[in-house]
Amino acid sequence: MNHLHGIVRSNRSMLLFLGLFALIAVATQLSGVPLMQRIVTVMMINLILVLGLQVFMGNSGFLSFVHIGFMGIGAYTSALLAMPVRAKSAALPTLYPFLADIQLPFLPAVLLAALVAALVAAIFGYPLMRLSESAAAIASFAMLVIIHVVLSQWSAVTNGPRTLFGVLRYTDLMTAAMWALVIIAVAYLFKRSTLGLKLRASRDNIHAAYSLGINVVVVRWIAFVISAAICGLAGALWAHFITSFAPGAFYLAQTFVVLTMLIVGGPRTVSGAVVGVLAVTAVHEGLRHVENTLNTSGSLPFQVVGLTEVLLAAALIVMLAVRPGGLIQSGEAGSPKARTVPPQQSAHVAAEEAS
Amino acid sequence: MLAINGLQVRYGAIVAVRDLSLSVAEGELVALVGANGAGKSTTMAAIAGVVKPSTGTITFLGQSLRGRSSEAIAGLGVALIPEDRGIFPSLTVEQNLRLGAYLRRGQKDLGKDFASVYRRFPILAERAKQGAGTLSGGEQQQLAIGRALLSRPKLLMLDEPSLGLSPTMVDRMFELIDELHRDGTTILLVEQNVRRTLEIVDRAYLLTNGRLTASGTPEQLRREVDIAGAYMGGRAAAAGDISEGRTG
Repeated sequence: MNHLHGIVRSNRSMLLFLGLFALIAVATQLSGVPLMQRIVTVMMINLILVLGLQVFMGNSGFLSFVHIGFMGIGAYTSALLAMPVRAKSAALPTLYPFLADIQLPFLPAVLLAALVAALVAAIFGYPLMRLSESAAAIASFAMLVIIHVVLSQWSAVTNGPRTLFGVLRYTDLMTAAMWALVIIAVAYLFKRSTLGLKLRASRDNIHAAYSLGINVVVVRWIAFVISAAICGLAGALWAHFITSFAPGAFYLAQTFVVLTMLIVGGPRTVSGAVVGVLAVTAVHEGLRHVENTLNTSGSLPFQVVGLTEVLLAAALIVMLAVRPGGLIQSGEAGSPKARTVPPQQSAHVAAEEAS
Repeated sequence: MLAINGLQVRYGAIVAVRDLSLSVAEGELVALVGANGAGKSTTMAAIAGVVKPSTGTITFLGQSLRGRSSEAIAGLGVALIPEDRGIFPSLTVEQNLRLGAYLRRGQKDLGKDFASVYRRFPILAERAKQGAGTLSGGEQQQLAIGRALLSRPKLLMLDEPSLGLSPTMVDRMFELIDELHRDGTTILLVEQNVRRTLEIVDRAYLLTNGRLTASGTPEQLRREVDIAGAYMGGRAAAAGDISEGRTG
């Protein structure tokens, strides 16, 4: 019993959010409102994306723009692997034969999608990880552009910039929610793992990390590959939810939605990332509702367009100015607070600081 | 154990250290003393592989350190505690210590070593679950030393461990270095506080403007060198003779 109590205590934040999201999923499922189910499914997929990004960005302190590219790679990989052969030959007549003739079940297709995204990240990410923070951010942006160009020009495989139709719908609310719960646990465990500790150490003080014998580039690279796999997985789930999509879905608009969620919530903490997804989704859907109501009611002499985007961008700017660490900056929400300093200790600290 | 020969380090056009030779034997406590900008920290940074020397040799246990990366040098058993202490503020005290132990080959006796660090620094045990960034300067210094000890270094390098500490904490720090030395740790120490340093070290090297100007046992140095003239600190400050010290 005592042992169990210890496990609960040291994982309180993780268990809190696992419970919360399980509850949201079940409640939405039971509500039976298709619109709500759709919104929550997309939110779960966005949660996986944001957590994937958090694994890398939050722990390494590096900014990455490329991760939506990995989402795209995952989406196309899984779509191509799981599409029925006949639908594939209709949608992509010039597809390579070895791809044209296979049709995998959902789960292997999704896992392979994550693997392919991870492989691409492993090959092209290594040089990126050797760069300084700002150079790596710009290079990651360049990499997003490259992935986008490849996806929109490789007509034989992706149908070029046009929409790819005929992907089977496998992802429903419960699948997305289950994967989201798995990834929440992965993000918490990664942060606490030896690898996560080394990565956070290198973020805090890179020279000290080197002097403890930590190979910072390799540690960073492993995290980058893991986070790419998570984003590839999210892309695969998304592909089998939306069922028809074009390369434009994996570009700037989605990148900024995901970055806004992470930055508003707080990239350094898993609970921050989770809260960011909840907050931005709520605001986003709320504003869209307002926009629709305004437009259909005809109370204004003009159509309101882009209200959500403008206000979300404004929210991002305000957050960066007022609270750059995000809503949850350092301690994980819900975890037990560190013991308070006993009085004679604080006197000692005060004396030292005064001297 | 450590031997440096003809070391020169440049920062662009500025020569920070020129033609420096020194050695540290196993079990010795050796200090580098000198004014600000004399090249003490640069010498340590060169040993640890943080800056690259332009000429000269650095050998540690018979192996050349030049051209090795800082993490490789750390792997050979050289632990540097930099002036800023190099702790990881967003990790807990315990996590900081765990990362120190990461370098060791086996995890054998890890529990015992943790216990001995906690015994030496009871405050760290008390604050094990607290963020390292919430510690005071003196506590952070203890954490940095504790973390270095957990890596079982063959050579411990301390850069200005007394910097920014309260007088009682400075006393404690010198006692601690003396204790570590008695326990057999080989230590290279950089300090501004010459008077206190000469009380505990086996030998010291005096650097002025990147050059070695004197070396020997504390007695020799006290007898032969006008420390007060070459260097601002300890007795010089007390004597009010600070006019010549600030040339570095």
